[in-house]
This record gives sequence, structure tokens and C-alpha cells, in this order.
Amino acid sequence: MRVTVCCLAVMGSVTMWTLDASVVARSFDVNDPAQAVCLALLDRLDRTAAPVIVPRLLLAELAGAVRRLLQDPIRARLAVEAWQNLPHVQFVTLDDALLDAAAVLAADRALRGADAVYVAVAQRYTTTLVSLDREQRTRAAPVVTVMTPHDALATLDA
Amino acid sequence: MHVATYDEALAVARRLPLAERLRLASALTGEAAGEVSPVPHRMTPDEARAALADIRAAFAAQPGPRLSLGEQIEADRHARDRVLSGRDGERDDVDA
Repeated sequence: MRVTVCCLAVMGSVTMWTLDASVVARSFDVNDPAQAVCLALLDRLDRTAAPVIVPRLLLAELAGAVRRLLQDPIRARLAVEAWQNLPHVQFVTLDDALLDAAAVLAADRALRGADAVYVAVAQRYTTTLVSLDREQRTRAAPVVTVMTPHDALATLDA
Repeated sequence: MHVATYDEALAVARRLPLAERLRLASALTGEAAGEVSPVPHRMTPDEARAALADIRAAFAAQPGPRLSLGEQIEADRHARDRVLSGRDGERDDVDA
């Protein structure tokens, strides 16, 4: 049974995670130098049923990237469907309050629009934001906990 | 053409012999079942993991050199950033 986001938000002692699309996407592609660490992190989060909270925006970013690189709309849709059915992953709807928060973060922290959405989710649910994007991590660090996939794996190992 | 109400149709149907009532019920049930959308199959977690493994295999089979998936997402975000800031170096569609 799926745990709702509102319940996850009060799980004070459990580390919760928000994954930038870069981490999810790069877990697919063996040509990517970060693939191994991203895949290892995703496997670890899956096996331990660690709560992952991501904006629904991730699905569109993932689908677009898979479609454009593989030239395969079926697999792009499958990627979306598969992610939607991972039991430890919760998708956050981009409501007005969240988008307003993202706009403020983009303004104050000079974040790109899509990057700010992930930071806003991490801020709202007090999750650790994992990203391969150095600029996103640097600019988000004053407002949320940020890690690279490598650091996140080390934290889970500790 | 006279259109019977539900109650009128039911009253007529009830006057039919048993065999005819059963035939009518069977016909209506069969037709209605065909009109109902099937419940969409929802992937199980294991099916989801298998689908993701299949996508990874498809990427592994892709000929190189090419952008990696992560590079593609980064490129997309930067391209949109350039479009938003008017620094994309391409003609806008303002006059299109």
C-alpha cells in the first residue's frame, strides 16, 4: 500500500529524499560516467523502501529525454509508467503554493525554473535533495540539504 | 417513434416468457460488458523494475557517440534557459 505524502511529511526520524531528474535519467545510460553511482543509489533506495518524494515534473523531463535519445515513444511511456509504480516513490502535484515557492526560490537563489521546482519540493517536505547539477546544489544549499549521489550513498552506508 | 421509459421497458419485459426474459437479459448484459472500458493494468513493482531494466538495455544497445541521457536533460534545461533569456542565438517565432 502506498504511503501518502502527507504521512511521509511527519516521519521525522526517517531521511527522505528528493531526486533531481538528472539522477534518475543518468541511471539508465551506461555511456554516462555517473550511471553506476546513480543506479546504485536508486537500487539502495528501492531495496530499503526509503521514501522518495519528487515533483511530477520529473516524469515529463524523463519521458522527453528518453524519447529524444532512444527515438522510442513506447519506452519513454514505459519509463514514466514504471516510475509511477515504484512503491517507495511519491509524486507531488505542482499546486499553486508549490509553484509560488519555486518562483520565490528562483528569484532569490538565481535557480533555473525547473531546478527551483525540485528545491521547492525538498524544502516543503524537508527532504535531502540529490542532484548531479553542481549549480543547483550550490544555489539550493542555503535552503535545503543537498548531496551528490555519491554522498547520498555514503550516508545510506553509514 | 415512441421511446419507452425504463419503467415502461421493464414492464414489457416482465410480460415475456421466462426463456425470452433470460435471452433479453443475456443480450443486454453482453452488449453492456463490451461498452465498459477495461480496467487498465497497473504495473507491479517487479514489472516496473523489469521495464526500467529493459530501458537500460536499450540504451546500452545504442550506437555511439551521442549525448548521454543526463547530458540531454542538462542540454534541454540550458537550451530553455537560453530561450527564456533571449540568448539562444536563433530567430524567435515572434513574427511567425
